[in-house]
Amino acid sequence: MRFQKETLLAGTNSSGRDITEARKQNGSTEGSRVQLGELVLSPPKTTPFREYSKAIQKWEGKVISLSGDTFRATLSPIVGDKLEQEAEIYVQDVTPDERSFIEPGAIFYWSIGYLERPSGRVRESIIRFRRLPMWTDNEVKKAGRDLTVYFNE
Amino acid sequence: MTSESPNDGELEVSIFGPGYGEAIALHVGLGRWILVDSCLEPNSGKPAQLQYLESLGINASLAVKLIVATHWHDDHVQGMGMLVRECKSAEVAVSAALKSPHFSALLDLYGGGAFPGSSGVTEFVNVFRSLDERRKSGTKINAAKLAVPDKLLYRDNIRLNRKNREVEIYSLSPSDSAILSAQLDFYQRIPDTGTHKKRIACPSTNNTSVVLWVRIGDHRILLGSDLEKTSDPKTGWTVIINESQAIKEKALVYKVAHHGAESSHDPDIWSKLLSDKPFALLSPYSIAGNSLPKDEDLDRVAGLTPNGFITAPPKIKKFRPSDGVVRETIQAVTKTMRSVNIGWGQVRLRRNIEDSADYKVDLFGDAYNIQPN
Amino acid sequence: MPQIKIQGANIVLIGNFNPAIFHPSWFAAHNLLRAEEADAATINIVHPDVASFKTEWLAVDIVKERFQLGTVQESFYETLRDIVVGILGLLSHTPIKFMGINREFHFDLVSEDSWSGLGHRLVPKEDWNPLLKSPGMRNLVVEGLRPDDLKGYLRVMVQPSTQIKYGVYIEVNDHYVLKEDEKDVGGADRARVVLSEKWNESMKRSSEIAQAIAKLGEKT
Repeated sequence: MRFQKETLLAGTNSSGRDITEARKQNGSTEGSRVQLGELVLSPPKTTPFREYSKAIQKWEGKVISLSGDTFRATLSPIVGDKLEQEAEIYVQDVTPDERSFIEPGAIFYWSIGYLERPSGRVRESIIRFRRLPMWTDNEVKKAGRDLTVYFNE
Repeated sequence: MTSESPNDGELEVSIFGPGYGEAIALHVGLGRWILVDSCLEPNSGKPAQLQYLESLGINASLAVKLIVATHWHDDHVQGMGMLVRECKSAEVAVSAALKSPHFSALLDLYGGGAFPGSSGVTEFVNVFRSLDERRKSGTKINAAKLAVPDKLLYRDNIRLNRKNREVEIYSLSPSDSAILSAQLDFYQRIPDTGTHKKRIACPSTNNTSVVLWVRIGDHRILLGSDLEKTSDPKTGWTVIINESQAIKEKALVYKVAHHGAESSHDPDIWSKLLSDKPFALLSPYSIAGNSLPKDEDLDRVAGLTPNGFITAPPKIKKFRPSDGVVRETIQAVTKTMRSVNIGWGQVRLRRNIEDSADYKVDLFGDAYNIQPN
Repeated sequence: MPQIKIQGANIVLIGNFNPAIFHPSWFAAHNLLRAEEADAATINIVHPDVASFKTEWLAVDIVKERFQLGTVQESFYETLRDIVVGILGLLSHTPIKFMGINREFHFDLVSEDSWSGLGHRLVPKEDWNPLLKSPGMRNLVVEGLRPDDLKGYLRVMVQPSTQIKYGVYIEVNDHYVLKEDEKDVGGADRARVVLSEKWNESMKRSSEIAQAIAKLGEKT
């Protein structure tokens, strides 16, 4: 399977399709067209995006402390009102399998807005903790470089 | 905050904040500037000092001669990488505690792209990157000076009306004990394999801060950074007050340590290091529900001098979003929510280097005199 | 005033990949997705030549030379970035030559006047009228240099929206060249640093470009 060679080299625009194809579907995030031997797999027929969301207010949060049923966090704005905030957030508003992430220094995102679905508009408030792979042995052991060149003495 | 730049014979001390931190700009005469720490001006998102110098029509790449990062905490270094990059003629000075293999490890772990967004550590990655660029371009100023007690970081001669006025800037800290303690702290912050990646937390104490003693002709300025008072006589303010050789006279200007917090107040600073009725400069700071300076801190400083000024009110206020959906959601999800580090201002002091006239004070933005009316 | 009706973000990497590893369970095993999300994913295919699946909010499409993750849910833009940062950390030896941080917008221009006004503003009809009967803009691509000191370009594509009546689709491709020269294979580490450091700036810039273009229809 391969895309047209020019497509691959066309750049990092979405979906990698040849620009002259005029991107009939207006947007790549619904999937790519692939060809595997004789088998052609096509993305679903073009329809309005099934679900898409818009944030009215979004913050990046950093946990300061956890106490009882709330955790305290600083909130730096990403979308919406530009002031820095501090909040005590109820732990119950964090999905259960992410509550173990609530510790000082942990980063999360809190987005308030609307989710547009075929069935209608839904108000949403999502708190989601940043997930990164755990520290590996390799990462920790190879960290550290000679800083001598950066200092005068 | 636009105004005219100081004339050649005028000294200036400006403090900016909060903007999640504070920053200082000093004019030492003849268009030469010293920058201490860095914070971002909230509207533009640019380093406050660069914004200010630009507003005065000053070319920072030529005019700035020294940049000092007094410690590595988030609240004092936002934008520091850009400062070093833009101010190409400036020497750089950092705490000697940072010359440590453990700090180097933290730079790699937390600053190597593993954590999107900026922090104190990523700013230092940017600082070192800027020094790399200087080295590659053949610039001679391509390594940082290390601040230790009584170290001369900057010396200059300002020739005014055929007379030489000496300018000297000394670091008064961190002490050897504080450096060792900081390096142990860095080691303890190296994460264990198999643990979650999370943002590095700044230490709660500030014993490795770089306090600066500035002499411009006959004038003295003490910049207290965030240094705290400690029970260990070999760290904090005690060791400076008891052992510093660089302090020979008293200062008339004091950047109050650690936003006026009680933990950084030592009466001996005021009685032994400062002149009568000094100009005391503060910027507010809020974190973890604590807003500094507290009312009692302001009262204390106001009781010690009638010339106390702060860049913005140290207040937090309940967050009242204009959007109804956001408002209702916040009410449901949070027990409390407050806007912090509100306001922005600059306190500026200027005087002629050559005479004994008092400082002229200009207040911009939300800055005000803390003396109760 | 043009309103954004639909928007999306995606990250594209050009390099050498092994699609077979990119199963939803791999994402969950490396703490990149929640286990429930991985379990509920709709898998089109995971094969040595191609991996394609979707979760509630994430679309993954990977072939050997190209890696694309994207979302049309604004709540998850930063999570999308974090997943790619995490993957780049895990696959630090993967050769990666180019990276694109891309935004897509469907603006509602509300009126036919604004909609056709925008097309006319971008591609003035006077020159086309003698050549074609009722000419209309179907697709416009404009490329500019990067505003920073990194290699690459900014490429903007404008088309009539297929999702919204009197709408315009705008894509901004923020393209980074990660290899130093032709012989350099680039690297995941470089991609990770650029993505971590440039994301905020890229997102803001792409929004501003798209908003400015969408408003052009108002001025005619």
